[in-house]
Amino acid sequence: MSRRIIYILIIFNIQYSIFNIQSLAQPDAKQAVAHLQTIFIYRFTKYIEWPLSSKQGDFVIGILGDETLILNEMKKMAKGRKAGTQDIVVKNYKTIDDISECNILFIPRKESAQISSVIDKIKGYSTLLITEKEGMAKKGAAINFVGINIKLNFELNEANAKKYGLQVSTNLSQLAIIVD
Amino acid sequence: MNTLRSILLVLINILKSRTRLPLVGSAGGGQVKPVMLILLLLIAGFTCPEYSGVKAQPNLRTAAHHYLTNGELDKAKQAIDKACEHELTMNDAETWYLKSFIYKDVYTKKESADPDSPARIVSIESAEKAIDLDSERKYSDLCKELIKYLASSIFDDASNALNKGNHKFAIKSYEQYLEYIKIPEPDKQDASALFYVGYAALQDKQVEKAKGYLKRAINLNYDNPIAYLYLGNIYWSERDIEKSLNILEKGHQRYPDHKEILITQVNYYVELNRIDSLEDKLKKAIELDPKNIELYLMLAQVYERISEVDDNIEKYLPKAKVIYKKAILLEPNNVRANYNLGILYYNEAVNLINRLDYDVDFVAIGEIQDKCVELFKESLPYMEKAHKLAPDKKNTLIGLEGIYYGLGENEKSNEIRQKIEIIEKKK
Repeated sequence: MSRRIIYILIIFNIQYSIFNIQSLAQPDAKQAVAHLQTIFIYRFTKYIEWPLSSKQGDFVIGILGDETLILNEMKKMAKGRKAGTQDIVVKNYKTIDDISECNILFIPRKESAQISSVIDKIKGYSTLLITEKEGMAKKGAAINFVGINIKLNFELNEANAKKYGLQVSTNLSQLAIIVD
Repeated sequence: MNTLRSILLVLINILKSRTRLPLVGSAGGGQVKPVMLILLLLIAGFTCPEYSGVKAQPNLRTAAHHYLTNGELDKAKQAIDKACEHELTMNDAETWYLKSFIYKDVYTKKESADPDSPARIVSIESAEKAIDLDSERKYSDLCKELIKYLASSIFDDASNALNKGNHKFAIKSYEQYLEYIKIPEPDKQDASALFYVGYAALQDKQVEKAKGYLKRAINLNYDNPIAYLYLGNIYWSERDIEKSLNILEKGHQRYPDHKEILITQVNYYVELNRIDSLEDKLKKAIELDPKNIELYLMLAQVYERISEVDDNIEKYLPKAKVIYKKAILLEPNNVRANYNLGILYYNEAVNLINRLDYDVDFVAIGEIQDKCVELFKESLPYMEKAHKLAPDKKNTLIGLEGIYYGLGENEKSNEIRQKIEIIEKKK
């Protein structure tokens, strides 16, 4: 008697899977831009001279508002870094009233409308005012971030820097878009 | 019966002749009275074996044979069953041989449609008994052939049951087959039967049994790649990882072109994150199954994962892109292929920025930025396609938002942001 053929249904869960090799967390372009801005701001400290009176104690970088991306990036950068001999400290000023004496003050785009009030607040301080909205270099900012976001660039208004007693290196001027 | 008949005939003749009979051995011609002779003959008659039944059992066996020859199976069964119980014939190999034959006929003529035929089992067991009793080896070969024939029919019934999905019965029958086939062939180990028990047991969720039988089949070099696959899967489900990988690798070595073993290996290596072992296996799998887009996606993701190690970015990221593009050629509207390639470019750009050190100079920053813009522009068409194919996929929207933002298209970026917020509110 010949053996009958066995028809085995291979019900086999072959996984042509919706397969993911444990995908990486998706990085964020906005966070990348914040990182770029942080690098720029840190680099600025190498090209700008603050008056002697501002070289005591910590080097304070202030951020106005609640932009957590740039705040977190700055805090990361500040850990263990110095501007000259000063330890870098990052402060978050939630409102204009919170602003105190600082070496650098960054005004994110959505806080730009308050620039006049900010300028009033930092009168007498040796503060490098940095913004990121078109036209701000003409409204009092010493440095204004411009360009398409990932292709970041910056405008430099030296006169606005000098108002606060800051000396800008020519090396930086050569890299910047000059605004009078 | 013949002896008794003879005695009666003698008695009748004596009575007819009314003669005095000479005494046997009397020289003087002494005479025995007829009455005495009759008495003597009667005593002899009562003690003759036929009358006492001593010789009745060989006749039962003969009767059984006679009934069998005449096709009277029920009577043949009765007769042989009695013969098998009687002390004079129960230890004869011939008796049991005859019984096995009779019951074999009962099976073939009356119970062949019954996969649980009792007559078949009786036949086999009778044949086995005959072999045990057969000191002169007169019946053994015949019995062995009979057992082989019937065991083979059990195998067939097991296979029918398996094909119909009656796994419990299949297991029972295959195991019976394996037990009985050892009688005529004690050294035989039927690897296919072992495999089928293993398979049936697996279907019936008797995992330990399945494991045991599959191992035995493989150890006997059973020629079926599925055995390796099943056993590998069982070990995997028991988290006996190394055994699983070993047996699958053995299967792969023996059957290098077997697609399912290879893909199973790939899946397991992926789950274990043993990325280094995957490249060759996936390439081979693609050779075997060149239209399987999942394999391309897997291979591309393997390359992405390997490229995480910085030293390998230059080598493996381009490979990943090539494979994704092949996948897209195969299936232009595959959402995952488009999304994965789009996000690959996007991630590459963003990672370039994120890896920048704080002390990097402005010139170098500028070069990196230019590269990022290129990468975002490469990414955009694939992400837009992925979005068109699957408009509600949140990850695609997040990627698109980032690309538009990175390229300075803030209005589009904000529109996408609003879509994301709508999706998030729906949850």
